[in-house]
Amino acid sequence: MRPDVLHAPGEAAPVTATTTGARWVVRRLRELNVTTVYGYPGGAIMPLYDALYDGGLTHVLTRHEQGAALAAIGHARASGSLGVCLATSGPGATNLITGLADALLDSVPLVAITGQVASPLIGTDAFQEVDVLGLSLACTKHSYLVRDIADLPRVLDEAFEIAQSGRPGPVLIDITKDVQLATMPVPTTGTSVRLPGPTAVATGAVAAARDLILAARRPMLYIGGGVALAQATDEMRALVELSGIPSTTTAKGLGTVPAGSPLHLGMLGMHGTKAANLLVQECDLLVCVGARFDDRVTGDVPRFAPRAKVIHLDIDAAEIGKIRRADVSLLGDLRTLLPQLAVRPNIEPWRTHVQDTRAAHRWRYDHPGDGIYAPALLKQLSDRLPSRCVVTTDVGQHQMWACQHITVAHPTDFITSGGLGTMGFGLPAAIGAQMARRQDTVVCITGDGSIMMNIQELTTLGRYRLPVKIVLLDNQRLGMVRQWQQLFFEGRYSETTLDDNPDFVALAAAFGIPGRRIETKGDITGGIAAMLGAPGAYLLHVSIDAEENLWPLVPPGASNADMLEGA
Amino acid sequence: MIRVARLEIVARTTPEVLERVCRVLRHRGATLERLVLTTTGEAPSSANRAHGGDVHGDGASPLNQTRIDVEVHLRGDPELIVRQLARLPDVHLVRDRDAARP
Repeated sequence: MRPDVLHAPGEAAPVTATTTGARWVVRRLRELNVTTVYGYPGGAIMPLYDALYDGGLTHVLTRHEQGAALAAIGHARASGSLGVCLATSGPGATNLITGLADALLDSVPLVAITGQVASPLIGTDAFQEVDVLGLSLACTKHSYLVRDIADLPRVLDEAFEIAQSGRPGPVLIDITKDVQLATMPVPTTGTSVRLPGPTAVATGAVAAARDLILAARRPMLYIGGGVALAQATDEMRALVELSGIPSTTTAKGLGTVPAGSPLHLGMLGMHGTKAANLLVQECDLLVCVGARFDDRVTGDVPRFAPRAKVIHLDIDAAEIGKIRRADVSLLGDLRTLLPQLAVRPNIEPWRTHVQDTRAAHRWRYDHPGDGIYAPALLKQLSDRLPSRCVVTTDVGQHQMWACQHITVAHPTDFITSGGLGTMGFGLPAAIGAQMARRQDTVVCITGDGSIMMNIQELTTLGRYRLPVKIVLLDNQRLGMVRQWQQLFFEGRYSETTLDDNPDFVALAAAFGIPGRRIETKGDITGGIAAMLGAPGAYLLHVSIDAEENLWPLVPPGASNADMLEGA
Repeated sequence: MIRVARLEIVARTTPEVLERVCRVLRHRGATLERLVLTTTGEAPSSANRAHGGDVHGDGASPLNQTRIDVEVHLRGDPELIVRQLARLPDVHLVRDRDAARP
């Protein structure tokens, strides 16, 4: 024990009248209500890891820095709080970059702290030196290089404020090694940070929006991830209920509206439900709430909801009019804005039409043959999951099947890489989610391509005894790319065959994780039961048809009205 | 339609602020036509002391700010790029100098 630090084992170390930069970072993280950080040590961040040794924070050692960033994202999204990840300079920091970009595109509050070479070495091409701040510019909301310990308290507090305020996002703090080691008097208070808030809602805009809603005959709510980020799920549900307006969501908005809601249509867009896509095309008013007219949602923009007026609600002014002109824009906190739109238009014929269309295009789970049809398996899994659980996905066909067929109770229960589409996301995100919600079942739905991108994190499951359930849909293909090659590249299957995959059950066993392989319809019930009944982590390896395609699909550049539905 | 937009940006003086601004301009497809960078200060002499004698203040703005006057060629509404620039935490003010022009 250091002579200047006296504390009982297991307790957070007190900070004396002076502190080092590294110890201040750890102390301030605790004060900012951070309990868990994800990272990987290295030379330039050793002082910070020394401070973590008795710093009172839980550190989760992933086996790759990308895993740390994605786990921190999973933690943030499952808990509705902020995620923190750590890495050293050079390759440690570059390995974080994909996670930062993922957090930027999905608006996840994340603070990444990286060590940098000592100040005198900056610019000398020192060992493990890279211009991390320069790298960060395109993939963070903001970033800092701290070369003076006097700046550290302000920067840390600013970073937390920027990451969580307005539209959330990732902030990088690159701290030189000498600043981590330098001493300073302990700051007595936190730094006051004042950032510009959203501009006031234009006079009359709320009234104009209400008038548009009341005048509409075929209105539709288009709900995105911004609702959950604003913690406005209750307000959104209240508006859905009171207004009686049909609704559809983006992938990140799934869970915002209860699936049982009679006028809820599920996801829209490239792989959305047929009913959602057809009805959005018919609507005469689109109320966009915390969404951004992403290209995977709109298809060909000029032909998206072509007869609809648009009301756009968002916290981010830069989203208004970016893709689709808004007839009325409401900029601000959705918790405040949504209740102001609580009017009920007279739209009974439209409601009836929506219900009829929804009923006419229900998912079908009957499928010929004995092989496992992924949508049917996911539907069975969804029916067996507890009401509150967390489902993470990787990226590819399985991701969209999960969006279509898994039902969750809340948007924080479904965590997928929506904007960046990061293969390798699912497993580390599940680790972060399980750390944040220790009592809840956490399921990672992945594919054989994606899981291999962060397979090393199976070790992390064992290290922290995390009971994550992994459903691996294995078609021995990069299925989504293969499907596009089939449909749009004349069947020229370039580098999408993965028939040299390892034996995944044996691989999991090597990491100490039990599992089983299922291949036929008759195996599904038992397989799911074994997985959910296992006390710890478990791998359910599901063999599916390599030629199975994902439907519906809106071809690139097409209108959502022109979706393909397969055979 | 490609048009010329004249933007005025006032930002915190940091080494990377111009890089951040230019990244947003590039990301939105703008082509740089002209750029004038001015470090501003109410009291140029004190600013010069603080910055080692290389600050040319305009005598009218707060200390430690940079004014970036930029002309860019871009497609679409300059207001969109103004809003994107306004999201940068180091940027205090952005305006389209021709916004009031009919």
